[in-house]
Amino acid sequence: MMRTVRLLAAVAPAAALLLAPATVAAPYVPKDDATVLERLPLKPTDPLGRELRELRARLAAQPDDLDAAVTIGRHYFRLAMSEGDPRFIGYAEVALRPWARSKEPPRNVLVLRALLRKYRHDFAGALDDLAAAAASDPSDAEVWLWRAAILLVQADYVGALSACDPLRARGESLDWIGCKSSVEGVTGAAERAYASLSEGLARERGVRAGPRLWMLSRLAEFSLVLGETDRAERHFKEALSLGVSDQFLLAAYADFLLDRGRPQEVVTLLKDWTRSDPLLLRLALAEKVLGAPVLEEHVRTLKSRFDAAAMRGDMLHQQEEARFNLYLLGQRPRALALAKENWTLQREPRDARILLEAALAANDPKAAQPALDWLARTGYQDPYLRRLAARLENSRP
Amino acid sequence: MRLIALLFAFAAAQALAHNPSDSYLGLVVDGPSIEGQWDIALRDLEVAVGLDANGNGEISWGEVRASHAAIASYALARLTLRSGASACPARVTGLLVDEHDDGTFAVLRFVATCPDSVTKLDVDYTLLFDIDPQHRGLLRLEHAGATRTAIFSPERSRQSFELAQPSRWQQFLDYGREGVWHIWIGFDHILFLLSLLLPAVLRRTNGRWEPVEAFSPAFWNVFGIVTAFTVAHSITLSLATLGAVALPSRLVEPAIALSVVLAALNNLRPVFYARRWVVAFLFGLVHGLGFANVLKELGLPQGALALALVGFNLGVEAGQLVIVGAFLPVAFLLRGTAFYRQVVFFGGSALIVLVAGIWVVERSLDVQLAIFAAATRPTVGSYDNMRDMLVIASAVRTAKSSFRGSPPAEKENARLAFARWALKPSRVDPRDGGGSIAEKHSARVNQGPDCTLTRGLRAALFRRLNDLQCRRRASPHCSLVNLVRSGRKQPQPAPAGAGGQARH
Repeated sequence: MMRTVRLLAAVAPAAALLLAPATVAAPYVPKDDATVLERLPLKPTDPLGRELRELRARLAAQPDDLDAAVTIGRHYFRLAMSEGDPRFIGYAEVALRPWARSKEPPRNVLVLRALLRKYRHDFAGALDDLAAAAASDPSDAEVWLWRAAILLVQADYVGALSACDPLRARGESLDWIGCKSSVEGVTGAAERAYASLSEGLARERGVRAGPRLWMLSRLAEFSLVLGETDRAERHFKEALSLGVSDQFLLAAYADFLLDRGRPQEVVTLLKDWTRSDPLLLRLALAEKVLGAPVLEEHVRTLKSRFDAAAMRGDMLHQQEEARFNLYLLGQRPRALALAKENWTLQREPRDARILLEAALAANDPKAAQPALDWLARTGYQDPYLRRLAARLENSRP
Repeated sequence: MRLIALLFAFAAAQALAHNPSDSYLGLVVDGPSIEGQWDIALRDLEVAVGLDANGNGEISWGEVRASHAAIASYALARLTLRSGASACPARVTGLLVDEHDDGTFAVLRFVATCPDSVTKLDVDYTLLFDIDPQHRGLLRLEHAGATRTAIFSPERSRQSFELAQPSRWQQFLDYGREGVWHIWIGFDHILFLLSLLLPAVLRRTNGRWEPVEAFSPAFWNVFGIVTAFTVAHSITLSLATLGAVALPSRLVEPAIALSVVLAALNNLRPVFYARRWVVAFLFGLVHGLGFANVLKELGLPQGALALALVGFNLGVEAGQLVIVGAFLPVAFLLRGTAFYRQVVFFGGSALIVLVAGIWVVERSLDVQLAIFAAATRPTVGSYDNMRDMLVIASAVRTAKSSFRGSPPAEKENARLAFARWALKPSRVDPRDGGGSIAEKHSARVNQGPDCTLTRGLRAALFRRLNDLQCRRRASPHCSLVNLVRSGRKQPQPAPAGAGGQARH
């Protein structure tokens, strides 16, 4: 399957119209020495920067210095999360290089390696590492949470729930509620998920903006699943008003607006987010509805970014790429191939949705079978997905 | 809640606010020399070399410039180019910067020289792999008008490329086409020929011009003139191209203009009538030197000199024959009319004397007469001004032929896109002390000027064309073409003498 996608990736550029980057600049010589060309994420004088430098020197002298390696790896992983820059993942991988293929690395290497693997969508490898880490110390809550998060993406809900369980040992914490309700929300128990999460959020004091935003986004999702669109919008807006820019929230709200035929608001929401592929996709979808002249340029930009990722061998955005092919390029067979491939890696509701839509568009109901099975098995309540499924069932010969 | 915060942060990171680390390596192979442009992210260089000297978390141009040597040696130590078994040592020619989608990049220009013409290029790329295994090197390799792309990763850090040698036949055709093109846009050559041909359907008896009775004397008359002209300019074209004679174009060009004046004057006040082929031959020698200058502008393929020479010459002949073929039948039919004798013959000759006379003045003083320039547009400018037009004209021409069969609107778009590119203010003419060619010629360009172009410029235009085609239609190498930015070889005031090679 992986091979088909590689092949597709190789053939794709030939099959598509192409584009130069949105801005074609020419190399130049800045006029002034004082011209600032780049701002670094970490100042060298930053305590973290200094610590990293010292650790790197230590590691250079002795590459198998476990403490130094894991500390560096952790720092870089955290930086990757806060800066959203995949370079830091690469730096972390270099720190762990002595243990990259090791069968039984030390425990702290295991957890970090699992996170790096998850980032690269190597879910099986990540789960193996987490399982080994949990076996050596079952009391580490972080291991269980990551495990639940991965199993959730893979639609292993029984496994995810049992991974949530150890979190309960620490009391009825929001961690546990968040974990459990995430599973319930997609398994036909969205009502219960909504109730317990909103209750938990109301009860807990001093929830910081980041986690609060995460929970409000979940509440909005659960409301949508339940068909409560007004309530969903209230949660979206509350989350947006927290002043934390979160691309997942923006993407989810943009999808909400697109589904409700409010493309103008999507443009207002996302016009400054063209650097983010998933958000640029939503923006372009809205512009298509509005017939905006800038659409052509945005489609070109997206195309070049997807092609670039494919050529690098990155498979991080197949779900978006499928949507792009389906709705902006009109390449139905390719969209379906991508959606199918994506489903083998990720099985969240939006992954099911693009598979159903692509199969319907390509008039290939059989291809949607995995998503239809998933709907039947989970009892996922979302009315839109249910309608899609019904149409597919009817179109079956 | 601590854990939920983790999940939140992880989700944010997965959304990829930044692109992964890539470098863009462009190589243009021409004979034994390889011209390179390597765009490397400043953020990557900071980690590898350390650019932020004052530690303020910002990288300034001054800091990049101060690290020029460090950047150059760091990068070039991680790129090995080999032609077959022999190394091709690289020398840095300039350091610039460029903005890419994700941050500012240092642009390292270099020239690598191999012992012999490259037929198989081995590239060994190890930049940054030790620091970030997710780094990728995106290569765009150009050779003989063809472009290919490749990706370097830690797993594929060494790759080799067979370079197809340009087909001789194709080269021959290319130069032939340039020859045809040159005669068609070379008004001076056409007017010279016409001056000699106009009297071919007439006969001079007792100081009066009478129409010839039969076609055959007229035909043989023309045949003799065209043959003499051809033989003569072939001789000087060959001699000049092979380096046996050399005359600067500032002498040749006025002389060509003068030959046109004299040839036309000869119609008004005949000095040579019966032996016009002698005139054709003598002045043909001068025109041949003019052709040779054009051929030099085009650049000659190494190891295929004779081929290019013959191709170009045959192209010139073919272009000439078409003109003669169109002229002779019409002139023969009209030969008995007063219109032909009064208007075409005398009026035409007088007009040619006037036009070519202005050329003589312009070309010998190297100025362009304003009124005349406005009236005649670029094709009739002085030779140097014509050279300014090279890019633009061929851009338009290339664009037109490349979009043959496309809807008219698309062709028009392509034409304009090219003209706009060619007119970018960055195309600075060094002779003007920084004034832009663009400003001088933008008005004319939109009227569709025609010229030949230098080889370097043609290469630049082909790259540009690639980009344009990529924007509009499927082409297998387009993705990387776009990743690896074009823009090389544009005249830029770069340090260490980089750039600027587009003009000679």
